[in-house]
Amino acid sequence: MALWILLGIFLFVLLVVVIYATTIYNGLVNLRNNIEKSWSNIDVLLKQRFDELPKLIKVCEGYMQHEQKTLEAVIKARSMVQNAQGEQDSLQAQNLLTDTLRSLFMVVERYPDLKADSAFLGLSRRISELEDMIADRREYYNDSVTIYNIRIEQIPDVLVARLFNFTDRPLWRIDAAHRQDVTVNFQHT
Amino acid sequence: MTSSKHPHLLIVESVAAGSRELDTLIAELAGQPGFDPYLARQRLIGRGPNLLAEGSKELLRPSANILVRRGWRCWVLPVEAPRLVPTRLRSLHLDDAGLTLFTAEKQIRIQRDSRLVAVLGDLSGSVIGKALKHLMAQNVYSGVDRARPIGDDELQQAILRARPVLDLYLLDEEGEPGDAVRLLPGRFDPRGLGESMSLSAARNLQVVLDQVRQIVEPRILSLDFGLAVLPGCQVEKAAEEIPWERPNLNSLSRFGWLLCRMQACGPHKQADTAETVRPQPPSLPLQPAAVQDLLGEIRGESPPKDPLPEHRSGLPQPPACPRTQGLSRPQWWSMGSALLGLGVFLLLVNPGPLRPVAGYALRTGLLQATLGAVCLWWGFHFLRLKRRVENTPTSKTRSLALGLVEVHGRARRKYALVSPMSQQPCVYYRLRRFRRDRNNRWKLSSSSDSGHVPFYLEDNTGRVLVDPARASVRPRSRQEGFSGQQILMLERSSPVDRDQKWIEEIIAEGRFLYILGHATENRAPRISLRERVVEALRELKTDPVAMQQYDLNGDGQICEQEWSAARKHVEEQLLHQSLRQESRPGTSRDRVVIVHPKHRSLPFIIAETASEAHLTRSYGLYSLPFFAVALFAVAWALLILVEYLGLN
Repeated sequence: MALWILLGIFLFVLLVVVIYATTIYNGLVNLRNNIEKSWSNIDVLLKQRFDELPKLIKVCEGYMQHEQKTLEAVIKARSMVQNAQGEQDSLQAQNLLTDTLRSLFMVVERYPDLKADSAFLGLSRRISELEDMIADRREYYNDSVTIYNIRIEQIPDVLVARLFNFTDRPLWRIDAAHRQDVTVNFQHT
Repeated sequence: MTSSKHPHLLIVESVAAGSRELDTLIAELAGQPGFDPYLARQRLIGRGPNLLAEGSKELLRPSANILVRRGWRCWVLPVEAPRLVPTRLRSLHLDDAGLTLFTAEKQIRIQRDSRLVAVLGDLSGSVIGKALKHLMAQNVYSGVDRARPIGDDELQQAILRARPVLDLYLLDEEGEPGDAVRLLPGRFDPRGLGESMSLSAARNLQVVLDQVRQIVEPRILSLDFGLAVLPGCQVEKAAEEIPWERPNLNSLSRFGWLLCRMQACGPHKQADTAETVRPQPPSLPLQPAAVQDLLGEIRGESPPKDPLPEHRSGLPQPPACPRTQGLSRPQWWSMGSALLGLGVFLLLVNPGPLRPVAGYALRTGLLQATLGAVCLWWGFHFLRLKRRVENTPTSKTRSLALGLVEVHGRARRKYALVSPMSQQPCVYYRLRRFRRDRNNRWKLSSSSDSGHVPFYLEDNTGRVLVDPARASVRPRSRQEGFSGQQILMLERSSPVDRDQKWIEEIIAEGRFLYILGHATENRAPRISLRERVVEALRELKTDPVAMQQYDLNGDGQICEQEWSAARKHVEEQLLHQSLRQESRPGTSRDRVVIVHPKHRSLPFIIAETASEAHLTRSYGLYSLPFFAVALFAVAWALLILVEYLGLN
């Protein structure tokens, strides 16, 4: 009798373990998809920023007759984003676009009429909001990756992760150039 | 004469219900010294005169001026002990010209030209319970801002059925109280009422009251003793173990005295900026301790313990609760219990068809195994919930992506929601009423919540709208009270109905919340610029006057170049228009709302907690007993099954 009961309890425990392993597996799948989703959510914002640029250039063109070079740099960076092949290229093009936009907003300081234009104000605010949101979502992406990477290294999740080949994912890292200190020059020419 | 530095009371005549004007008033008063916006709302809505603030006269004058300017009647009175206490009526005589009242010391004549203040009050406190019950029921079922206090006729009848006392104050020519007499039912000789006399003591009191009403016009009759919040006028609950009659009679004397002083001084006037010196009868020197006692009663009504959130006025009224198509949870429970009871009854009456089935399930361990399976399911449910909370990264409200999101932040009201019992500004409340059944167990009899009222969650990057409908809400603030017992609203009590209790759970404004839910678009999809341009050009074509401005050569025709210019102009106009709208603060808000996920397996949690770890730990702890019971039930089922199959 005891044998049968022990056998039954063993089967019950086995059932619990299987259900638990399924829960872990589903959780890991969910985390992996969450990483993909958070990456795509950054893309959504990058696309929105991309779509706002023609409007910005159109508004700026009227005022910045002598800054064609800066505007052309923005247009060029935008087309690089459009033509980028692969994740790495896309990332570099996005970073370049961010840099050229930063240059554009710095140049705008020389054009008070443009700065006062309501359309420009709206666009610059919108792009600035998008930049903030992109930064938030990059942070969210890194959180998702961190949770996933920790999970697949923890017991008991590591057993399921190794069995089903869940490998760690890279965090979003910024270019080394962006980590350098910013040099501020207060001498106006 | 009182010094302007002497403590004063700002007393205001309250209104029956809240309104937008009231919110505006509270917002304006919020900056005044000695003013508490939370207590103020309670005091401004209700019956009779209520204490609004206390302090020196200079301190209270600006608030009083604001009240007067907004059309409220208010009084600024010095804190003082009553100088006149009513004496008991022994007998009376009613004639055509008036009413003569006889006390042990003198006789008082009431006639047509008398100026009178009458106070009809209930000494037992039961009327307060009735009024509170009335208000609570209205709050729950109609909303706090639509609740009306109990009416005069109903209140008078309730007082006369309880322990009524009638105090009559005769005012002299200057409006100061000269004589006062107290009518206790059954304690005076009613024969002077003549044919109107009755065997009922309460009825005789009512006759006197009616006669006074007929004789003296105009007169002041107050029924608000116990309902109005004034210092020193609280009513003790009628109980055997503590003396309550004498303290309540003293409270009634103070209440009557304050009413007389209000009549004598008159309402505050805005132009009254200088100290007005009124001749007053010599008064007993007021002991500092007495002043402190009175002020202590005021200060006893402590404000909320947590730091007060910023008071925000001008919030709209909460939306009306939509009528639910299905049954509420208590109704489901009642129906389920009724069906179960019917099943058990049928089994007892005619166990024939079901007895073998039940017996078989019990003998083979099927019932125990089912119990084990159910417990196992619940155990894993909480475990999955725990992992879901742990696995979801926290988003910022500014960059919230659509889908399942987790956000942390402080709760802020979108609507002027106030909890029904404790009257606190809150973003969510749940009120449940329990009744004691025959077996002395509490049974849920009704439930209501503010699940239909959205609120905001605010973090350091912005805020997001939350619709708490169908959410699993975990408030931490909980109030429990019996019917008739007054919890926070007023610091006094009345006979308590121990067979019925209320439990209120709230999430107060400003509390830190954890939310796991589904973020979705809050409005109709945006129309693209291209679509808007097409629509605008279509409208332009139908408007000949507008078309003329693009006819640059004046030939009455729009050529291709002119049409191109018109198109460009319209496009620019729309672009500027949309940019202006987007840059306007507030318009870009509320685009996203957190709601219950469409997929039922996904959770929607609103928890008042400062730490996510606390929440996950509690879910982990919830799952443990279920697993333990499941293991026990399975072991039991196995034991029975082995015996049943004869495998031993």
